[in-house]
Amino acid sequence: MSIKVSVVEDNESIRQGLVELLDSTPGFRAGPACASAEEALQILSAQPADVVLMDINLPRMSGIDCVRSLKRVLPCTQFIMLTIAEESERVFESLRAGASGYLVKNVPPEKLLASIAEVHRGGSPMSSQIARLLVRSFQEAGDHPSEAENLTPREQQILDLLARGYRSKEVAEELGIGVQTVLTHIRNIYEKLQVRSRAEAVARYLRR
Amino acid sequence: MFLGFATSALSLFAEDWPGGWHVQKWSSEHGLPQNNVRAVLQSRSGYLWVGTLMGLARFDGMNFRVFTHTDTPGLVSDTICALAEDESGALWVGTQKGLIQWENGVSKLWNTNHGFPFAGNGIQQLQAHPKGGIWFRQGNAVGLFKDGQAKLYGKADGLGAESGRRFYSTLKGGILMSSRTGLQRLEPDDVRFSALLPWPAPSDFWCVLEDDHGVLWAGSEAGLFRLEHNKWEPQSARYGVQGQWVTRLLQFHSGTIWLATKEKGLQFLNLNRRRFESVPLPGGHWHDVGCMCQDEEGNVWVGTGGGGLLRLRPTKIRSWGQADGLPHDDVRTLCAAPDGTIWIGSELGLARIRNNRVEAFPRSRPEPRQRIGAIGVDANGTVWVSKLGEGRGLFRFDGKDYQRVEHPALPTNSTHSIHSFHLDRAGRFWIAGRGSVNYISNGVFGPKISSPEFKAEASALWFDRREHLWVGVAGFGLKRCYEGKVQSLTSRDGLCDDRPISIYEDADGTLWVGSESGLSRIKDGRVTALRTQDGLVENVINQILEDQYGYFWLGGLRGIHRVRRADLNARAEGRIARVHCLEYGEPDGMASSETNGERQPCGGRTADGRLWFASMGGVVEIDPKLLVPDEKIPRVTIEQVESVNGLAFRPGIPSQPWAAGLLQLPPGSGRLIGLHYSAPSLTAAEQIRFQHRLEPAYTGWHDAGEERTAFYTGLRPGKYRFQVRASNPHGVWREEPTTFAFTLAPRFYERRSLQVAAGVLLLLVGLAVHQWRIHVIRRLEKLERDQALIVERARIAEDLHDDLGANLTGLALKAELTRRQQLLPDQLARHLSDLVTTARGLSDSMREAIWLANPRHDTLESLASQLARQTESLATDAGLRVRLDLPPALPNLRVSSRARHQLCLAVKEALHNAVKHADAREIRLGLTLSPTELELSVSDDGRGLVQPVNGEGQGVGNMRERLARLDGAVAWDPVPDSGTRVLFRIPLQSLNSLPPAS
Repeated sequence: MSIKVSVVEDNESIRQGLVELLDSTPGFRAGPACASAEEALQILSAQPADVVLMDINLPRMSGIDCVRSLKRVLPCTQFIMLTIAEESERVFESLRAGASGYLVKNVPPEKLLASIAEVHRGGSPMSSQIARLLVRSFQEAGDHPSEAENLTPREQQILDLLARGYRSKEVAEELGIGVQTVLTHIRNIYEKLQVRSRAEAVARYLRR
Repeated sequence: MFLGFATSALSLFAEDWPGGWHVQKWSSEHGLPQNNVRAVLQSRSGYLWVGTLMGLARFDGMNFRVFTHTDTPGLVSDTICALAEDESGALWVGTQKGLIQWENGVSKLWNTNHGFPFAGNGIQQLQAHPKGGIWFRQGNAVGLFKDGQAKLYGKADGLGAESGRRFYSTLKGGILMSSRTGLQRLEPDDVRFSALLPWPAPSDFWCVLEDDHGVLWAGSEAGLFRLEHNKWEPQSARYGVQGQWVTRLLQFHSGTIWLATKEKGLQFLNLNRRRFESVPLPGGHWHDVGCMCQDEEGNVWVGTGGGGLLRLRPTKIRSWGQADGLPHDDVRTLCAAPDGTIWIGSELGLARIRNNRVEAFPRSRPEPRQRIGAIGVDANGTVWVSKLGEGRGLFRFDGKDYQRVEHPALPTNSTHSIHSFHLDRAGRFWIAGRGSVNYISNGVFGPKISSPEFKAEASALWFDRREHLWVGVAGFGLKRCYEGKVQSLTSRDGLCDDRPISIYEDADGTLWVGSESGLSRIKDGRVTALRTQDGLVENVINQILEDQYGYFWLGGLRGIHRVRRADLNARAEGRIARVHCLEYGEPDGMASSETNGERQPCGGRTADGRLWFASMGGVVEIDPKLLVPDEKIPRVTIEQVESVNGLAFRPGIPSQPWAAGLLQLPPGSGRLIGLHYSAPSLTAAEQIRFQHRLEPAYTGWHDAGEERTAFYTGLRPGKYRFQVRASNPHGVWREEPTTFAFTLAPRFYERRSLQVAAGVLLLLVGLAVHQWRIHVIRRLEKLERDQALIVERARIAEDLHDDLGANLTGLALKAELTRRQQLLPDQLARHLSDLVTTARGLSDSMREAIWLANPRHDTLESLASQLARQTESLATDAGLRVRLDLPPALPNLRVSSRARHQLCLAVKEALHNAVKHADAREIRLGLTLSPTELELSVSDDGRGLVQPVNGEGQGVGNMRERLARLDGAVAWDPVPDSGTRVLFRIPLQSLNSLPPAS
């Protein structure tokens, strides 16, 4: 079964290029493409895709806010953010909003397709920079009463290694576990980040 | 309800209770008003009340609701010293300014006007009299408050010396009065205190307890004493009390005696061992136990003097870790041998648990770290071990030495390894290598089963009762081998995914397969996938074990989850919508909630019914018969109702009535109404689920999950009944819901209110405009300040344009030429590939330029990220490993684009040297900060390049020059044969300096 991928991107040539690439590659098919977040909210909630490639900088409503809204109605859809430059903070913000990964726009097509397939399989890649931001974020949070929001010892080990520049495969070797298991752990770390982000939002609401 | 408590108390002190406590702490950061807790009490409503020096808090297991004098009429003081609940359910609060009686939503204050002796001295102790009234102590004055009047006890009541008074409850509900000189008793029906029982000299006595057998205990500076034949006999040595000075002595309804010593903190009497055992408490105030109580669910609550509130939860799951003698806490593989021994493969070697004792191997000499692939015991009791990595292979272990065994499926020189063993019902011990599987029976290998389908390491293994062999092949699904055939089952056939990691066959012959994406059931050839949407707690299923009661215990990353097998079948067949799982984790006694998988076996069941799991926190031992479900279901209360018009209802405040009658909501409230509810559950509040409905608008039960607020919008005027109910962690719903009735008054518009609203709106708009103007003016000011910067940025933008613009034009030209020329297909491909490379290069330099130009990146953090990216990108292209030594958090230092530019280029040159000339395998980027300097280092593990003599080759001169512009320096630190380190040092003040005027 091919992976249905929707593209949300305001630059027409990039959008068209991605759609053509997806449609011409076996194993992938392009879902509806949108030029704005507003369009995406309307179209994608009715015609959900397996994976959505989302431009982080969209006019008006940002890609981050769009993911936040869509993730709520489409919990099974995976979102990959597209950025021009690697802006760790914004990428981090998207991960908190519900994205499962990110790609720089000029990534070679093979890598783009591989990343989509990887995310669809349930694994999420994580760069050392994002890992560093995560380590810090989880440290700053301190003791949370809720266990579901804290990292397990293995997740902590994995995050520390990634932040030190280890690649997933090297992490797997170092810890004696499978690469796929490492990716599953990373996915779980992202989920915890999102749970925490929601918990913080509730806490902010209650503190008003 | 009583039954529920009785069973939990019984199981708690059954002989095989592991005897541990899980401690959880709540402090001011969780909503407690203050960390100095003076009184703690569970009221009949199920809430926990916590008295502090800065207010009273009510706790439902999840959230604290704080009451202080500012928001609670009737609460005259925030200094809460004592709490009690009487027979009629009234809450008594002893404060600095008198005694508050809080009943049916009405508060009454009793003070010197009602016979209390002191105005400013707090009510320090309270105890309800079983026949009405309440005993109190204020300083050294002790008395009974009844019918609105305090009566003090004195000589006329037989009360002796006045100093150092404190009272404790007797078994019959009376008081034991302790003073400096001795002890006196006053039972509820007595009119006079008993004769003084003097303390033995010269100790100072601090606390007294009459236990449930009527035996008197006392704690003093000289230890624990017990009254035997009218004589105080020392007990500290006999019961192993740690520390000298016993400051607290208590017994709760579960029977155990608790004490605290000043030196060694909290201890409880382990009834099995007849010794006091200490409970390690978190934080620095562990010794300062202020007050304690036990709730209905068996938890012990401790208020500390500065360390907040602690919950001690009796744990029924046992963890065996390094502290118990295991070589390491990270246990990867585990096997329950037929003789009841548990064999363990940890990260640092083997161990076994036999007769509740741990033995580690090797016993003394440290052995080089050897990863264990799997451990198993065959029918003859032979222990088999698979080692991974260097020295990998299959071994027999005799308790002392490893003996290598040539396995037909695993040649000595093979790089493959074994991850799976399985002992089948007939006593055959199966060993799975890569590419083939065979068994050993009575020391003889059986025929090899091999198949091209076994493309990777076997990750799970099972031989079922129909004599079919099931092999999980990582990444390639499940293979069924029977009658010489191999059939493949993958996610296409309905399996959760293609990486089965655990297999279990139940008594019905149904096969259950665990993976990291859910649990698959294979029955009569049909595959059904079960996942979190079917009610599982998580999708990672590392182990599947079954107990004698028909429950599955699934080991995952978030704990161990119990689910009824019948429910799983019912869900798989579509008869129910969801299964219900009960979660066990750290609060239940697991040292870590994360179990380990990917090896077989990694869990097991012993003949006595106990279940064993491999985890990140050692070996987990579960005795299912100890985990008898507590059937109590919490009752829901409505805590607050609010609408667009503001707070409408907030019971629990004394001046407002409790949920009696009908609440009338003002017109327009129906636009948005929020009802906040809660159900006190002090053990597992996070596992409580809610359902609610609103008649007549929404009559069906709505599953609210963990949500504790119901919002309604657009309700029409009329009468409503809101009903809410809760389920306990076992998924049992309470029959009778809590009902809250309210009416919405019809809307009406009055001219006057409209006018007022318009006026307010105008005012708001005016304010907003004013604020906006201020904002604009401030921005203009800032812009002017930044003018210099803007000029600089404009210049960068121009450079950008010229440089990139020119290159882009070139690209377009090249493309145009390609289009025009008549090219052969392979020439065309080459040209196109050139174009792609040029375009990518452009795009890369564009990204760098953007990064430099963007003032948002003028931070040390951003510089560190960029350097890390540079390192990774260069090293990855060259196939080298990267290691980053960057502090996780960097201070918020501004680094100018100029400094960033120079440093990036300098580091890039160092990286190029390492990649091109060092012949390295690994590149390390380091960043350290001192109060005055930033230090960046690029090191490799290559040849150790000596600095070229002329200093100009290999970019050294460039690096020097770049650093000099920032008043920094480069050091070149070659270590022959073990690499080179290039060190850049830059004074912090030059990171943010402007370029020198040209």
